[in-house]
Amino acid sequence: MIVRIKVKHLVLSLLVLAGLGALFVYVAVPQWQLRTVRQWLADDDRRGAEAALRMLTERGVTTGQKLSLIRDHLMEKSVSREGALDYELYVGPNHTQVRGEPLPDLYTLEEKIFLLSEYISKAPRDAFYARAVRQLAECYREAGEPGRAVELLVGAWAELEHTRQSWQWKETAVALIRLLAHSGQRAEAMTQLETFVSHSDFQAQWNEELASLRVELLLRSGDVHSGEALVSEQLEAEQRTGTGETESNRRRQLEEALRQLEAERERVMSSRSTVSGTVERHDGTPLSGVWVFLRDASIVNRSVTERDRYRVRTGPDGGFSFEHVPPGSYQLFLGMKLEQMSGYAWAITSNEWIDVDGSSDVKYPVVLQPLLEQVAPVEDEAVSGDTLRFEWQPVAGAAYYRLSIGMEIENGWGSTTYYDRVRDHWLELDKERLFDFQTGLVFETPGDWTTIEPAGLLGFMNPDRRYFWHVEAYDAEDRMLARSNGYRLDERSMGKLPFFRLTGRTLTDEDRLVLSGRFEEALAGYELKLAERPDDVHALRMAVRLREAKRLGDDKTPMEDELLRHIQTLAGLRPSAENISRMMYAHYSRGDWKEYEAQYARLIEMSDGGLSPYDSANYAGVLLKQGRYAEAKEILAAAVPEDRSHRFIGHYVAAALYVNQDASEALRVARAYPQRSYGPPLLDWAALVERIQAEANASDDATRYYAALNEKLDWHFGGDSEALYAWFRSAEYPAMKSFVQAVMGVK
Amino acid sequence: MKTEKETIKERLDEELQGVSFQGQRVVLARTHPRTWTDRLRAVWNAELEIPLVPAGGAAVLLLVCVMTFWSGGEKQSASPTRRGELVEAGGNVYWKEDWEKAVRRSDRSDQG
Repeated sequence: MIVRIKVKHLVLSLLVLAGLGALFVYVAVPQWQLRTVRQWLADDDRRGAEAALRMLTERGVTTGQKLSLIRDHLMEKSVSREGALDYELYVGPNHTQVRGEPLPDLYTLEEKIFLLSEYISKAPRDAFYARAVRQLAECYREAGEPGRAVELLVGAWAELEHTRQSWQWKETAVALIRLLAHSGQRAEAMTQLETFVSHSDFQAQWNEELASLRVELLLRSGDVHSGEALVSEQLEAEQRTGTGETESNRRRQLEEALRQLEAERERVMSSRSTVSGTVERHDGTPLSGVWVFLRDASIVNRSVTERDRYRVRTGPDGGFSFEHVPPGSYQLFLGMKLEQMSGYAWAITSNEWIDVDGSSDVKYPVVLQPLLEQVAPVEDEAVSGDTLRFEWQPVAGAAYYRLSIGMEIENGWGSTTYYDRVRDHWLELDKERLFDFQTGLVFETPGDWTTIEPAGLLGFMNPDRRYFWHVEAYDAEDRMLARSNGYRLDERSMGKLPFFRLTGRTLTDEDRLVLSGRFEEALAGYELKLAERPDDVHALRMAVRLREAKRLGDDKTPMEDELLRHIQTLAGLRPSAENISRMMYAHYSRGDWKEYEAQYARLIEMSDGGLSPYDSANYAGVLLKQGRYAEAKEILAAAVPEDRSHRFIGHYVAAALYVNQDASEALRVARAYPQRSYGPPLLDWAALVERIQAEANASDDATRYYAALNEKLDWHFGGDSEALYAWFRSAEYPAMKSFVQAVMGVK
Repeated sequence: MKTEKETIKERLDEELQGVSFQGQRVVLARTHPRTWTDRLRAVWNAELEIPLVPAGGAAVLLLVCVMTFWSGGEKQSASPTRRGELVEAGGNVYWKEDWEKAVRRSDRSDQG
């Protein structure tokens, strides 16, 4: 078939087609792409962010559309990071907190800066403009360029002034002042504040935020005197004006400001101490913009809130500094983004305290260490043989490692440290050894042993269970260097999953009874097996565990004979530290002191690294119960300093008072080893001893006083609670009473 | 005798005596183009004969090439990363998605 067409018609048709094609390519397609990009962004799809940047250079998209894209999908959804509590992760030595929903940013910092700059250069100067300016300033600050942020805000402030957008203008000014204040340029911040106040109208002057910013600047300027003078002047001026509501509000604000300034003046005069340091990664990379909180001992157990007044943001070099810190004990907390912590850990133990004495400075560097890599067993490895080998990445400078093993329980994951002071970066052990270990027990109803979660009873003997482990590295001064536990939120830091299974053994019928919660039946089953074969280690272990679990609700009564017999057999077959401890406890509960001592001696022999201070102190507690104060004091003299929480200082002090019949040694050690408690009540043993000393000196005969104290201590340790409580009801010796009551709380 | 035709012809010749045909040049320009403008006009109004099937096939081929070339130039970037929930497992904190993926992976290798 042939088509006849004139050249002119062909050419014109081709031109029209080309025209339509161009229209399609340069307008229709970009518009359609725009639609897709909007959809991606609405779904938090990363492709949208990348495409958005390309959209900006497309000609088929109008400026208005580009601006609205930035507005709706960047500015509206941007998470503000201006406030101290706007971050996701708050971490301290004993306490980690994740706030809100941690949504990762869809855009990188560079992308945000680019998009926001575009918006600012083209958009009308309205509320959105002001918001974009503030967000861009925040981006610059985060990128470590506060100078550019200041420039931007100053420029925007000028622009907005001409359009008389008073609310926008004020917000921009406040952002500028806040930025200057928090990046250490306080004088500049003060100047801008005064400029702003003099330019603006009456209403804006007394904005809450500005008022508190001004007080903060005055407080931190160090020149508290002129600050106070300034505020007093203003207060006087105010008092001469009317009595309307706004006026009385202002007066209240001024009075509050004055109060704070006075308190500040006292604080400044009371202490010359500065606490400063840097927050950086192990390779020296500083972390800037991180919030650092200095928190008093009384609040460390609580979450970080607005009321945490000692807070500062690290500068571009990662540095922070708190001045005029009142004397006391503090802990440092950090506020940062999850991604800043991912793959790293702040390797410190929970007993990290900063002691400020009011005259000397404290340097406190914070170093984030990369998470320890775990080599084996990992990724759900099924260990079927008789031995188990743990291996991990060695850490330079580590004197020893601490290994913990655990499992999943009802509401989470529990683990216990089973191996301390491991010299090598690997550990081989027999599975049977693991089976000896007691794992934690979870009671659904406290006191009711039938509601214990069965997993804890079977411990590591369950081939169907998934177990996990983690490890920490310590130096020769017992300071943590690194650990394997932490936030693993990106591909690089995911690492190998530290899980494994212990296969190779099958569950017995009694084991299954335990797993289904039928503990009495299981116990009967195990003991039946034991009657036939007294050396059935598994049945023995389980019988002991079940009986012990039963006793947990009621440990005041002496141990029953069956359990004691089981324990003796078990300790004979498998003389491990746990079983020896069991023997010790058994004898203790029955008051068999000689046997207790014998087992203790065995335990010391077995642990070639020495007993933990906790175990030693517990032993000292038993000695105190027997009235052997001098021996207890010896042991506590070694154990209390070694235990960083000094939780047994109470016993030490009591023993010292008893043996010496005098307060000097007691006072000395109470001052040297203050008890570290998390939150109230804060026990100040030194103060308690001082009061005892005062009371003794005030009485007619100090010797009789101390003798009376000893009598009360004997009542407490000897268990004569009746006499003790009768005495509490009497009116004499209040200081002695406070002391004895405090001693009763030691555990 | 004169026929009707001849009578009409005589009358017509009489009437049209004053009228003469002047467009010889134009016609000649059309039929025998000499100058550039004339040649252009000739080409412009020329009729082409295009065999439909080959031409249509060629057009479709061209279109296909253009389309593939065009869409091949568009980059396909990484798949979406939507996270948001954290989960604590084995002492570590992971994104829930990553954790579930890892669990599925190790479950599979278990059964393998």
